[in-house]
Amino acid sequence: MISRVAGICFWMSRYLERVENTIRVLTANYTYMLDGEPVMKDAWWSVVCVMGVEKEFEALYSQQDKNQEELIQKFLVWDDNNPVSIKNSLHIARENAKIIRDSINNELWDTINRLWLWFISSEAEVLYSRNKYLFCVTIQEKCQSYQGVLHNSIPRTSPYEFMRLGFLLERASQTTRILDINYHCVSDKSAVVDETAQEIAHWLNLLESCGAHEIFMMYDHAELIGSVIAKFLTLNQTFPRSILFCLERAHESLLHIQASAHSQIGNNTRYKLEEVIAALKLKPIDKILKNELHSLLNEILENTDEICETLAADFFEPQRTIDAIEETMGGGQQ
Amino acid sequence: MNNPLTGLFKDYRPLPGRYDEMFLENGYPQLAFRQLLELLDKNTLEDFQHYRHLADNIFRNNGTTFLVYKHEKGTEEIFPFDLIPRIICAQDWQKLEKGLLQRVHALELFLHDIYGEQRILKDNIIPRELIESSAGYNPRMRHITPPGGIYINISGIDLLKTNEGEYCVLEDNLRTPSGVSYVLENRLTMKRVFPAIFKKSHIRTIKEYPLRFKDALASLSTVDNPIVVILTPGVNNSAFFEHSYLARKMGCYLVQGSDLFVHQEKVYVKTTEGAKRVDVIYRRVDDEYIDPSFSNNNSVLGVPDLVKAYVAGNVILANGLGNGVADDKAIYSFVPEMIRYYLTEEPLLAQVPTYLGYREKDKNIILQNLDKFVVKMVDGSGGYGMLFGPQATQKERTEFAEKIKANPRHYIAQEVVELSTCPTWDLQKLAPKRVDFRPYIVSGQYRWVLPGGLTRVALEENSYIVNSSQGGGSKDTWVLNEEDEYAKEGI
Repeated sequence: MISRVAGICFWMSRYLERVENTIRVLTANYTYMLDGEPVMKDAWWSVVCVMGVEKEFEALYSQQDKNQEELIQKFLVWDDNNPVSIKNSLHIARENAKIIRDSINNELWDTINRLWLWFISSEAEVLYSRNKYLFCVTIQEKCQSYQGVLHNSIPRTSPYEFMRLGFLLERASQTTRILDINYHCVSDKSAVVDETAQEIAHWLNLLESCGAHEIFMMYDHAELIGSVIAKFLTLNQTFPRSILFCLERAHESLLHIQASAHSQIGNNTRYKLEEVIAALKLKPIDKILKNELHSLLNEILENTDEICETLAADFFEPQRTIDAIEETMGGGQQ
Repeated sequence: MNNPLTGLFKDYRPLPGRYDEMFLENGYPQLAFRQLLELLDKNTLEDFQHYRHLADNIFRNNGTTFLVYKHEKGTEEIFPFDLIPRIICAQDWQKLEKGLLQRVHALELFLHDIYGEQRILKDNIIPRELIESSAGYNPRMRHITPPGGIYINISGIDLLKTNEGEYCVLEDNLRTPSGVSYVLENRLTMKRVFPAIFKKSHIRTIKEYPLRFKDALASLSTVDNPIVVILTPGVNNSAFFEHSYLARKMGCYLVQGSDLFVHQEKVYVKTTEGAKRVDVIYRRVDDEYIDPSFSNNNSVLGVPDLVKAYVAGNVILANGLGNGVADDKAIYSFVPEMIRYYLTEEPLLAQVPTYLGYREKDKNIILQNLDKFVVKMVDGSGGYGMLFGPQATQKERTEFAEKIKANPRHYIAQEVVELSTCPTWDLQKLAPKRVDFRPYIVSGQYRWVLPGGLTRVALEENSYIVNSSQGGGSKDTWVLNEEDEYAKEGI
């Protein structure tokens, strides 16, 4: 497929995944805040941190505004000045979808276009002001209908694999961020924390943000302890939002792309991914200390960013030299 | 005899003294369309309101939109669509089809001649000076045969129907005619809204267009399975929807200039599997932007050295380079002469008498009759840069007179020709609105006319301007199969 179009597939999918993640975090936090228990300090501010838009927020608002629930929600959902607000992400995703309508099918375009048209409708605006929870659920449902159409109607050719790479790598970094920031909020020195009601609520909120609450409870070693949760969200090989799960599936997509093209293009990304996966598997997450976990998660984030950069260099913005042409023209004709 | 139409069309009356395509002046349906109009007539005005919402939603959800350059960033609009079709009977269509094939054939021969021997100039049929001063004439394309052998792979010829009911050519579009995606989408929408009518009548299909067009392009290549791409200026172009639509329906890559590159006079596309050779480019980028190294500009829409690859015969461009000389609105007035000269036939289609600013005598007539004429720039399009004399203000006329005096070659003028009308939805009722027509002609190994086309309608009262960018709308165009005609079976 066209290199530029591959990049757009990747980014479109990333932005839509970001929307779904933002919505998950918002919904979880929103419900969490309704409990009568005293909540963690800066619970809403931490959502801004998960999205990585602290600077953008600080540029617009004052220090006190960091406690303004309504304001933060608005900033995350509607604000044009927030590059990853739901509005901006959806708009970019929809514009990208428009560019690559020839590479996706009508149904997929339709779900994205409808999601955008709904989001900017007065109906959505009214629902947001009346019932934020329903507003979030509606968007989440629409995101899931996108995922459903993607998996059930798009052929397993390169465009699909690049879209898959997009949401998997985005999901890996979102899970990493959610874990990192929530871990931060709990004030303890070791990996094991006491189970106060406040902390239980907090851990449940964290799991809810990753859509993992009930799944985690069914898990063999389930204990509402930070270190167990961290291990689950990092290394579980069956949960679709765990970091390892996402990276391994991303690796699989890459192999598919290479196999269908009979090409060595993408090797740089593949090596990098393999290296990161191997290193991650060796980490004794349940035994490491809180500050070690932070630096580990940071490392994962950096690695994921690096994988995305390599991917772009390999596929989206290729430097075509004469060698490369001759390679593709002359080689591989066995 | 009582008027058989008592529903939707009950109160419809054409404008006095004007030719209406569907109705006689007394409100009776034209005989050939009576059956179909009776089917449409069964709807009430309320039904129609409902159908309109249905149709609007189909368009918006499909993203069948175009960009209007009113604002800085451009706004996405749907091309207003009118649910009353324009119907053309088989007899009329056959005549029209022949006329179009003849015209495009002559224009093709003209381009080969102008960029070749220039016999038509040597024989003094067309003044050399007129050709050489045409902005669309590219002397650097002299003695270069387009790879594939065809200049006009796709053309859209704009027509109107006169008060006598004859088709008359308004202008030729031989560079990058647009609108065919609306033709196809309009039909799809109509089928969804009026399935019963389609079931009961024999309306010729237009679905095959994308495949016919792709086959026509591929048939010109010497390669076995040629790679055909569509080159778009990008998502901000007003017709981007169409480019993307055609790519999907034709099964081609949709590319931008930056996706292509030229190496040793061959064109390649950058893919995730490496560089791939490109054989045919259906380009929706104008001549002057297509190759920055050829036009010596900074165009980022184009591909450096693309023209070199074209000249070397390594890539087919559809349409060919230099076609603008043949749809120059001043040269338009010589098309009947071209038909006689190249084909030794009489032109089958009429055209509008045209005054050329280029001729001293004509120029004076134009300047004296600015309140009666329509004045157009010879290379204008989209309804931009024209003066509609009878409805212009004195100030606009004076300004235009200055422009004409400064650059007379650049302007032509025509008397206002009445456009035929069609019943069209207007707020709460049906009213006669002016329409024109753009059929599409595809040329590959053979020439083919799409049995349908873009009917554009001037939605505003008394307006003659049908361009989408200027408040026009569109209608589905139904070309009937012969057996369907009431006239034949009835009498």
